[in-house]
Amino acid sequence: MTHEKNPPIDYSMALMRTGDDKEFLNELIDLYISDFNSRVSQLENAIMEKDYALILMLGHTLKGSSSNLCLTGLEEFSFQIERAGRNNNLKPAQLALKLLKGEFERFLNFLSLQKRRIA
Amino acid sequence: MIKLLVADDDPVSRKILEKHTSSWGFKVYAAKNGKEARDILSKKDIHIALLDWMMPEISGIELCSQIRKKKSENKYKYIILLTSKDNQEDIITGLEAGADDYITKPFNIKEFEARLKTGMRIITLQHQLLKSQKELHRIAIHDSLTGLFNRREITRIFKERFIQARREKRPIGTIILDIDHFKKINDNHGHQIGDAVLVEVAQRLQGNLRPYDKIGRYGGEEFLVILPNCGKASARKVAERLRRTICQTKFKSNNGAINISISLGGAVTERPNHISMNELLRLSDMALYGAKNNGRNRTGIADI
Repeated sequence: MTHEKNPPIDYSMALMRTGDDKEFLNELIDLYISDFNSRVSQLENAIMEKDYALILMLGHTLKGSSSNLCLTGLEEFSFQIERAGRNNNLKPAQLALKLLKGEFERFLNFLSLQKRRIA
Repeated sequence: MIKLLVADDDPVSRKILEKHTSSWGFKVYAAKNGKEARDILSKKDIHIALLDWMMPEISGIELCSQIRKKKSENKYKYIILLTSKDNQEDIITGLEAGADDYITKPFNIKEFEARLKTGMRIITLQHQLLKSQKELHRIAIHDSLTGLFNRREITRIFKERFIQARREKRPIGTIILDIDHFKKINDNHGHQIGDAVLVEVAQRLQGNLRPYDKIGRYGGEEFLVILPNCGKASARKVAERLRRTICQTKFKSNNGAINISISLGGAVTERPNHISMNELLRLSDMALYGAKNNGRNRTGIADI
């Protein structure tokens, strides 16, 4: 899926939510990125341990932060993880986690492309 | 400054809330889970709490119930639940747990600000109410002229100290004192000067008591002193100190200096379980009567 047709972030909407403060939005994106990896590794452990309550909680938190930044795809896959945790269903959680990681990579690529364009 | 707690495990959401609420003038405390939030709530005097519904350790809804169950809490905390849940049943659950309001994430900043303003209105009203309540209580227990405890309050304190003395098997004493020839002061100098004399007598008496002794205006020119944990000899010492502080310095007034004196009657029991409160007061009163009959400006202590 190309970034142009379906960007991982609805930047203008995210900007609106942060009061049109670009610097603050960038700060939030950095915060999201630095938090993401630790949540994912906790998720991997939770899936291994079949800790459904934790899967639900982590999916819920990721869904919330993705939604705040208008990261539509990441929000959707986090929601799938949350739902899988709620339903005590491991398979969909594993699948959604894989998609989540892929979407995160796509988001990082998108950001570096944007940076290169600006430079 | 209104103190606001932001409790949310999502760092992005937390940061957004912190930034906006600080810019609106709140003193903001942030917590990344329910346990941290509970610690902050117990240490800081938080006025408004924004609690995420789903948090690790303790959920927002659980924390909400805990806050409301705390009976000692007389300062109201306005609670807004942050939730991605928006079905009616969840909202009812939240409000029934004690939340005042809720907001669904991701929220609209303008709406969020308006909801916070509602919370601030409630908190401000509650502060005004507590302030008036405190002032009303102060008025209810003090004598408006002298500023000492009034008869009802000094009687209540006496009852409290008497029960304590019985429980701890410790002595307790009372002194009833009265300004000598007070009617003459009023008649010769006028009621305004009579009132000024009462005020100054009250100040001098209060300034000469031990920190744990209590004094109140018992009647027109009559005062009651409660002496917890005080033997007969000490009671006499206290009474004599009070007597001297009144008679040794003349009262200055627009009509010139006035000589004032007081008579005092004390009663002390080493065994509060063997006497009633009323009896102790009656004996003090009798001792005062004796002091008056023996020439005034003196102390009488009852034999018990």
